[in-house]
Amino acid sequence: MNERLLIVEDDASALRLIEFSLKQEGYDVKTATNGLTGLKKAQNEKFDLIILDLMLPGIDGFEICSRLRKEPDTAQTPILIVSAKTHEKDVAMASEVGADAYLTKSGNPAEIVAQVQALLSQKPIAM
Amino acid sequence: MKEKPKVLIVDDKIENLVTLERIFSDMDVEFVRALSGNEALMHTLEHDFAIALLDVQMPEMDGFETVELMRQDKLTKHLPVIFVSAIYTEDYHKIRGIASGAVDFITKPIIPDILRGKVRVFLELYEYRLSLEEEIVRRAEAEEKIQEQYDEIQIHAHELEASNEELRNTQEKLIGLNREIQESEERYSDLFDNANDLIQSVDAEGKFVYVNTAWLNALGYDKGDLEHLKFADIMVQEELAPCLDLFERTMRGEQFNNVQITFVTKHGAEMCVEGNVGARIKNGEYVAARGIFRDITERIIAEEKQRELDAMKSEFISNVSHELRPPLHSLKGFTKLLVSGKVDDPKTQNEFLAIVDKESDRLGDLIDDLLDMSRLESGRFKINKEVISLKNIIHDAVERVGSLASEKGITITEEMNSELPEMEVDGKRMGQVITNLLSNAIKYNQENGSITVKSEVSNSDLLVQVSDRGIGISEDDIPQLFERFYRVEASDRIEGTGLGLHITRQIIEAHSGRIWIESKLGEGSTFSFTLPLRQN
Repeated sequence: MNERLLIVEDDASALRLIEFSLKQEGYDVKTATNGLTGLKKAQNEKFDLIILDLMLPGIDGFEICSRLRKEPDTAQTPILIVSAKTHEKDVAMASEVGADAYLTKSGNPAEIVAQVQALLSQKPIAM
Repeated sequence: MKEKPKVLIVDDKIENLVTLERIFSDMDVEFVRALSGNEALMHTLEHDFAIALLDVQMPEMDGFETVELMRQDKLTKHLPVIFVSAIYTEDYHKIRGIASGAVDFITKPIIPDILRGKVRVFLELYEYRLSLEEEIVRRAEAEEKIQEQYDEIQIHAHELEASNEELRNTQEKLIGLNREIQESEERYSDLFDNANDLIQSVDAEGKFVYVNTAWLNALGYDKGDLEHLKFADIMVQEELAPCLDLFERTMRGEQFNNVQITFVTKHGAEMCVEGNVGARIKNGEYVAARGIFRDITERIIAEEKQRELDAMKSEFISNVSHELRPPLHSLKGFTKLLVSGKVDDPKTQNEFLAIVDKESDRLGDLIDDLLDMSRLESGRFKINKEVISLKNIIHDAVERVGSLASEKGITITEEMNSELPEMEVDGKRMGQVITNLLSNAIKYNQENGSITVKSEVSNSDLLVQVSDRGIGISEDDIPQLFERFYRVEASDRIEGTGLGLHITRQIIEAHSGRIWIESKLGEGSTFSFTLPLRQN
């Protein structure tokens, strides 16, 4: 059975690019374009991994992450942050709220695919 | 001792002379004898006679001739002469004698009493004359003395006048000096009082010895307040200790340049000043600390503003790079996918190409914003007017943002309350304005929200309003909203360069229009602008 992934990203193009790349790898991919929808989907459906953007209208990535960590169903779900933010402060904050990995946005979806594969095989790449 | 009156007796016979002397023996006179006319004349040169008694008949020069010669001489001109003669007794002799200047003519034999009587009269006359002369001399002497005293007084008067003159000169000099001092003082106080800088002089006890008008005006005090005012009273509390230290060191002779101090005005306002402080030295002692300060409150505010602007600018640069990156990443990512040949499905290929197209536009728009910004900054922002109706411009803008709106499920309603006339505007720029307002309304709106674009003609203006039911804008943010680089804090999660509204306002103002916003946090915002129907 294919692993189920959720991507929460408000930039339509970026979302489409990641979605397509992961689908090509055979994953079952669902999407959300704002924080609230993303959080609801993550709570209501069972995902093997969640990819979060940080800058989202409404509820932001940090908020979603820390909420998911507090709920038993999603407390263990691997969470990958993909953000345009490059500041150390943001990376530290992501770790604090319980994210498993942090990737800076680039035009290369292969990086995300590799990180997703690593997380799913329970071998998180050191941050 | 008074001299005896002298009587000149002239006769060629000595016995006659003796006889005469005997006649006058009881009279207190001195006789001078002369035996000839010549001898008599010689005597008159040596003596002053009261009277002369002359014999007429004498050898060589007779009595008449002698008297005639006497009359010619100044000394003897008025000498009374009595002729005594035995021979010439006729009347014509007497007449001749009188004519020659004699006063009397006595014939011999001499009657002693008569002669004595006559001579006494002349002696009395002589005495009287002498006393008169003495009186004259005395008067002359007195007069001379008076003259001398007068002269002396004159000299004193001159001296007095001279010293008076000197006094006057000294006084004038003093007055002149005084005037000079006063003028110099006026010059200085004029200089100080009209200076823009605040000038003060503080004595060792911290009292104000001098402050200028600018100082009084800036700090709001009257001259009368100074008496009770101390240096510490105008210091801001937090700076009191370092300022007192500065003051003490100044009074020990140190000089401080470009010190920054905060003063407190009479009304409690704080005022930043910058200036130089030094001590005034009198007789080798430091008697006062004087300071010349400049109010730099405005400069500090301006610097603060500049710092804020600089912070905004660097935030802008950071925003711009963040804004440029996503479309660039998408372009790169999709192009790579397409080039790699991993996308077989032609439908997906087309979809991706459309995304590439859209992202190129997005990148282009961002770059346009940046260019507009740099044109605004350098004053090269151009407006190209054409006669056009805003109706089409509004409609086109709504279409342009249509896909963006539908992504969030937002509906846009156009409300045209009156027919819009054609007017002279830059169509492209006005399209940019409405697109900016619409995309803001979309960005800051809720999912499935709504936007209304209302337009109408009111008076001589065209009014356009874009209303949303979004997150709204807080009152604090509204005044800065149209400033460049300004982004409301809550918009941290929303993309944008902070330039859109700034550029929008510049375009509206370039059309002599006005733009404003009404908003309530949590309820939504309405952006309105007016344009005059007739452009000047």
